[in-house]
Amino acid sequence: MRSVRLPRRTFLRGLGGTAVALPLLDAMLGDHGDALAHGGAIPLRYLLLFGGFALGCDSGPLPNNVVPAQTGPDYPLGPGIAPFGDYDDVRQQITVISGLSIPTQTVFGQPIPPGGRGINFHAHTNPLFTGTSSLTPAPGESHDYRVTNWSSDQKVADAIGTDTNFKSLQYRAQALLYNSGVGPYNRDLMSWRLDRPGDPEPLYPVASPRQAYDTLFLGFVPDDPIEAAKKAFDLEKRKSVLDVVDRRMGGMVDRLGAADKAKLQEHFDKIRNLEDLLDNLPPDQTGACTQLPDPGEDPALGGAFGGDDPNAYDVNAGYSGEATRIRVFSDLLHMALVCDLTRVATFMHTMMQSFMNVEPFTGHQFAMHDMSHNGQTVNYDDVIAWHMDHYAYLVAKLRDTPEGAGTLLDSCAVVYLTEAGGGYSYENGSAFSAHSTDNMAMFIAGGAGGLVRGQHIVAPNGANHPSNVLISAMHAVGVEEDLGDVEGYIPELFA
Amino acid sequence: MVRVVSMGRMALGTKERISRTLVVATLALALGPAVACGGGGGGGGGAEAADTTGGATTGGATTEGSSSGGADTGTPADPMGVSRVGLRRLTRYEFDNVVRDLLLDTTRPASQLLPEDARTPFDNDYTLQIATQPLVDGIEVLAAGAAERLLEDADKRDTVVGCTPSGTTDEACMREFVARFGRLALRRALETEEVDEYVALGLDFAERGEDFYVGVEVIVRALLQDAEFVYRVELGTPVDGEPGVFQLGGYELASRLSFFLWGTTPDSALLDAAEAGELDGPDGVRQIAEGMLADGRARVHVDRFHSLWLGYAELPHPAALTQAMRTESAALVDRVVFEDQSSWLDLFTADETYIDEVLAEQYGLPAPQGGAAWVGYGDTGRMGILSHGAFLSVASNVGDTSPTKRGIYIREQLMCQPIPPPPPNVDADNPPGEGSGECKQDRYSAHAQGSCAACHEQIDPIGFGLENYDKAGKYRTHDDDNAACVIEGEGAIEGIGDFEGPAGLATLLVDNAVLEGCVTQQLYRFALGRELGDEDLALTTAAGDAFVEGGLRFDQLLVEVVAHPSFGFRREEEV
Repeated sequence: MRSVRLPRRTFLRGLGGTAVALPLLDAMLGDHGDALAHGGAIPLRYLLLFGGFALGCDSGPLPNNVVPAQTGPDYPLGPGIAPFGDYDDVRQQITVISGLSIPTQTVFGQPIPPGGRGINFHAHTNPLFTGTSSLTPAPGESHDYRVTNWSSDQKVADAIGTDTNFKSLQYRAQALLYNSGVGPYNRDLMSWRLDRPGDPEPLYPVASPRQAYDTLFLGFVPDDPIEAAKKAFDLEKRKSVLDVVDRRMGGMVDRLGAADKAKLQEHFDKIRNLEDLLDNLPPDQTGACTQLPDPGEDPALGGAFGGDDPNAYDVNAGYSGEATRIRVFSDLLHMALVCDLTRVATFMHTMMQSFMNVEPFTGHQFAMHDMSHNGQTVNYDDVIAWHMDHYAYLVAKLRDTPEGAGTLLDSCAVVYLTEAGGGYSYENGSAFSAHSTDNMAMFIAGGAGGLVRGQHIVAPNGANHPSNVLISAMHAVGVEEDLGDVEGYIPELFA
Repeated sequence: MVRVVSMGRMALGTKERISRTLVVATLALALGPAVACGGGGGGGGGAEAADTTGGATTGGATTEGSSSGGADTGTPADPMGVSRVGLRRLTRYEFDNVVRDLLLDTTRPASQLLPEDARTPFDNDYTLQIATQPLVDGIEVLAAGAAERLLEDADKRDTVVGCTPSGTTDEACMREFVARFGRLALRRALETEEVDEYVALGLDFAERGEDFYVGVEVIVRALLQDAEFVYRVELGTPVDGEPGVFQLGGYELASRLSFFLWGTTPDSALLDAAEAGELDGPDGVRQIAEGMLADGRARVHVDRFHSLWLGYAELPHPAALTQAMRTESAALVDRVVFEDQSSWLDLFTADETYIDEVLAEQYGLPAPQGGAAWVGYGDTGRMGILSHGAFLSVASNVGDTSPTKRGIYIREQLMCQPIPPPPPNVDADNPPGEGSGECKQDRYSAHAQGSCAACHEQIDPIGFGLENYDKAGKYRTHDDDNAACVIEGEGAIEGIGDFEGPAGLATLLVDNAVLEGCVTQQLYRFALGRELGDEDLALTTAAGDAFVEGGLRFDQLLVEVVAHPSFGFRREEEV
């Protein structure tokens, strides 16, 4: 089901070339609007979004305000997913899958179930993104947060991402950890590769919208010929500079001891990647595919100020304009798909165990994580709804973009995964805890592979791991594989 | 197990009232595995270490009496005392300082463009640094932006370039610029062929861009991405008979000094001194370091060290309050270390503080007239830096203080006693019993029962001794959410004594000589950019001894660290 490789030259316009009047993709489509002119199908796209929240606070209640009370179409919208009613009822595009669960070790020391997590929370990156059970903590350790397997998006990227300039994109909107006392422990990462057995490699997300913008539109040629020439010259500068940096760094690598050599080699490899990117510029295009307006500088980090002040006090009030950042990244992702610059992306709204301050957008003075433990479910709904609004925005934007005979969303699987559900806690025995991966719900939008739309579906027994939803989305884009310890897609998700 | 004794010896020499076992245990804990909660004030490796007396015993090598000679002959005083140092990337903070010093650019672009540095609480642990794609891409964007800004400001540009080009492709001027700027950027003199390469790059683009300064621009871009700019590369000269040990060259030592004492790159005067051989040997290093401490950059960086160590480099408050708090703490550090050059412990016992009307209101003190001024604490129960809003803002939850987090912070960072992670079967994530309506102290007490008690007894009572001070350091008499819950404010450091409030805590820590040994280790940790290990004890011991003997002057401690014979050497990082 791999799509035929589009020759890069098809896209290249070159400096000073004539603008094509129609959206380029449409111009290249066959008469029936369902295939590219040279016979390839409209590409399928896989997007995975993540939010670092549970579906309710400690002490409940169940059912929570996210999972609809009824199954089927036109499901009712609780406060957590109220934004699905906006954007011209984008609910009609979004399917809710409830009844999901990551199995949990119930007694410390007993085996961790396949695809499951240890009894201690905040260490389940592996089952969440790779469908693989968490490692058993070393003696004396409470958690083992390591990731050991392929994440779904990278399996998909290997299958359907090789024809585009960016095999996959990784974005993260939460700008900072906001808590120096808690290490990153993979809570800022979604994408993992296992090219070398036993040596999983994370793909670090871009957290600067400014930089993501520059990278994505690297090859786009401004209409103004002066600007276009300036950009072309700048590219020459960058290449020549990197050439010098590369040569010198390569020489330095050889002069270092083994440990330092390995460290600098890592850096050197990334320089090479950057050079490759500059040598294989994303194509310039026209029509629906256009360079977005410059988003300007990134929102200030945590309200940082400094500048001329030699002390440069880095005030960290826990919020760096994440709402703005999400919006910019969402628009970039949308355009990346329109332009077929990528077909696979992960996008982290907020980190696992997010300590982002939610006050700026909810009025409640809490770090997200702390709030989930303060039994204020009514207020916490505002946090969930904030994430869901951003998800709804992106889905609606894809829906509202024509492509071929349909819309861009028709070729997508846009999945939303959350950190937790809510339920009994084996950690502390409470009846309802945010530290639970029971009663999870996920969201999927798009028409790839015949996905159903706008339904509330309860995951069937035997296929109710979040990875079963990811596997379904993988199947929807033609990647018929399982994920880690988890097998099988959810048939109910396909019409 | 690390065996440590000599810090105990050091402390005994001057502070007879201290229990030697306690001090020894404190240090052993800092270097060994985390203490198992349960023993009074320690356990772990302490008892074993306490049996040993006399010279420093680190991994079997005796270092006593070895602190003279050595480096002059190209051999470290004690090979076992040479610290492991790997390739260190500039932190975001350092990167911004260097861009400021080299390009007169105060926009601090690294803080905006580069990924966050991990906090340990220091921001420079090189063992945690990862060369990610966003980092490398970010540096490229940063370099381009900085070069562009340089060209936009003709005054700055001319200062940085240093010569006036006679034409678009003035090779002499380009060469002069490369040699001088390249030396500053790479922190060493460039070889002729290196100058040639940059000049060729610059002239090529000057010609293509029909502008000399386009050549300058690409050279700046290239240097700011160079391996030797982004990383502190230390090669050195192999020491005979000591595999893996290298003596640093003068330029390399200059960088060590500069980043440690100034938080930024060496200036041309320091590079000149290195080139002239003035850093060859501990005496020369001592003299240069003393000169460096007279520079404003040292004052800023000593403040920086304290703010990272005590956790208040970033504060979760609005800008005005944050700035007032940072100004307050910076003023005290500066007064004790640089103005008065008095005992560093005065930081913890100061009876007045530098505040403006914002903090006067916060602390219930009379507002000074006409801006910030020193104001006496009177009988407010405050004393020293632990009473500052900055420190009291550390280790809280967003909504309220966490006695547990405060206790852990004080144990780990001020007492150098690592607290082990909570037992596997404990949910350590939740403030206990929140929303139950019970008083906070009762909720925490109810939680700290059974198997949890052993650990929490070492932690929570410290935090509860500060409970009268809220998450912004404001005095309060009852729980935030319940006026019926009167805060008693009584605390204890198990194994040491009881206290009330930050003044009481400071008195306890000072009287028991906990702080001076711990800060010595923290400072060297900051100097090395990693956790300490066995081989680092020779230096911390010697420097700590001198610190105590010299009356606990912090500026002298800085000098003692860099003037130690082993500071000019490097042990190769292990794979």
